[in-house]
Amino acid sequence: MMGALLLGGLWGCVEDTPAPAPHCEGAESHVVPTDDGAVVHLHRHAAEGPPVLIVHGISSNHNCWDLTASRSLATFLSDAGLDVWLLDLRGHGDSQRDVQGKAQRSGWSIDDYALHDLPAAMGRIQKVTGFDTLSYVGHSLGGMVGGIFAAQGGDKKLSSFVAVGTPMDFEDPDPLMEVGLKAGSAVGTVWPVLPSQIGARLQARLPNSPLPIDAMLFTDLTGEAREQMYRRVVSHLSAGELKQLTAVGDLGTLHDAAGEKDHLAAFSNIQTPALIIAGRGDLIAPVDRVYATYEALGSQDKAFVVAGKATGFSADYGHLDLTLGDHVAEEIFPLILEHVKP
Amino acid sequence: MFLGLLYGPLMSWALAAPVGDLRNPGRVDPAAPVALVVTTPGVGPGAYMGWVEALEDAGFDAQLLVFSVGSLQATVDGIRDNTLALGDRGYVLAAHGYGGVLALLAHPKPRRIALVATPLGAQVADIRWHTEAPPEGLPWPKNWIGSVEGAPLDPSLARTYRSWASEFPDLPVPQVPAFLASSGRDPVAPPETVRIPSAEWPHRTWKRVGPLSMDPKELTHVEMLTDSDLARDMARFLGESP
Repeated sequence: MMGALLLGGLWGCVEDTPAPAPHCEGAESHVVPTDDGAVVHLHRHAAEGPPVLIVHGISSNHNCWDLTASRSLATFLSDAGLDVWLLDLRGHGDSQRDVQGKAQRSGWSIDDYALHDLPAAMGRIQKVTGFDTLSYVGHSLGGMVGGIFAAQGGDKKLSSFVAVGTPMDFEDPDPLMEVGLKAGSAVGTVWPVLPSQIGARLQARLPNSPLPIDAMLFTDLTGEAREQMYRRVVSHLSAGELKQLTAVGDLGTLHDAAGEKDHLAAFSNIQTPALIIAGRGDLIAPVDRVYATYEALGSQDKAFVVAGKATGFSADYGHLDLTLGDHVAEEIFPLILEHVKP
Repeated sequence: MFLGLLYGPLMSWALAAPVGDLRNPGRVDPAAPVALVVTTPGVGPGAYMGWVEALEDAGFDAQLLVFSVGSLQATVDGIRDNTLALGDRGYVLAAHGYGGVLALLAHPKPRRIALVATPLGAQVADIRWHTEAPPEGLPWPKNWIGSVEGAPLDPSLARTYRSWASEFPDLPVPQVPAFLASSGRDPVAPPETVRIPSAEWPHRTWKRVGPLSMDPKELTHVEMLTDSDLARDMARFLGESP
């Protein structure tokens, strides 16, 4: 009982999304209802050029692509003339509450992001900008979601597709991955939501934390950015997405929520020009597991990049380094711009 | 003229003649099962002493197959001849790095096999060779792989090693239990060049060295040879019943 009260109290302290970063003051905010009754938020860094939709990963939010002025793909692309739209999937960032202020915490799967949130976001972008197609950039789960959307008929709405640190091959599970999947599955059956935001706030206060969480998440994130990341980028995990994700331990690849349809196999339907980026130091999405994403694509025009020292980068990129590490503006963002610009 | 006519065939014979001899640098135990360690041309035998110790601790008579300077074909022939000689006695085989590729090309018939940091396919992304000049005779910069006791290396074999980054030979699939270990910090044989090409191997035990396997850290290419915990894992696997 005391534990529940403590958890509830902590939850209350951290649930609200942090205020926008100074460089985002001019950004537009769009609240978009989905066709299944949820709500998602879009953040727009407007420009005259064609639109780009940017999507975060699991337990994250739009700040992972827009942390500070120097660690912002949104700013980088809008400075290049592209009309940038950042999405908070339901339950993440500003989409933790619906228009009435009611919490959106659980009750959905990864498929719902692809089949309801993305179409709603893209419909709004199309209506506002008048463009029939857009470029898509997703990190980790965001890449999976974009791929699922594209593979199920959304391909024709995309002019280019970028997936960063997106693993789709879960064969030969590593011991820690097996432990994590089992723990996640167990937690998901007990709680409707895993309050990872609380842990992140605690980790932000512990620069010398004995837990190896930093090492799992990044190798090239120094100074204030580390604390900023833990304070601004992490969102809760819902049981539904956790359940679908943890099923990969038995299925080997990401399947639909019913466990019947292999999403990776369907990636062969995707014909959009694609860029897949993996981080050499990424322990969440190791290169070999991301390579399967690249291999599965049906696109004739596709490229695979490994961000590591042996391939000419300044660091062996970890999972979050790929979106907000110390060298993203010089090394990762230009690759993405090159791929998405008309 | 006559000498010239003689010299050509002699040189061809010398280049093609098998190279490699068996050494038993540790405890000699004729009653113990043989663990054949195929060293990598270009790497000195002293670098393998940690493996010898681990294999002996696991009950093996560890023997190193060490090569004099020779071409790819001569080296593969040397491995084949030496493994054939061991055939009646039965043996397990262990190799590190490119030594594992050479060993597979010789179509050995061990009881079990362990390949540590051995690439089984080409790299999936372009390697920036120019970031630092590689050490003489080896294809990879030392600060990428770590320092190790060297040995003379045929230049053509060094070029072959280098070419394997982008073009890889067809390798036979071992039909015996195989232990494969790879580390993300090893640019020579990162996991995508090991796990994916071996996905169809029938009796494969795969280990990603590093935090994802609860190890303290990821290892460089040379550390994959010198790390005592990994050597024990490998020896334990080879010592298991078929």
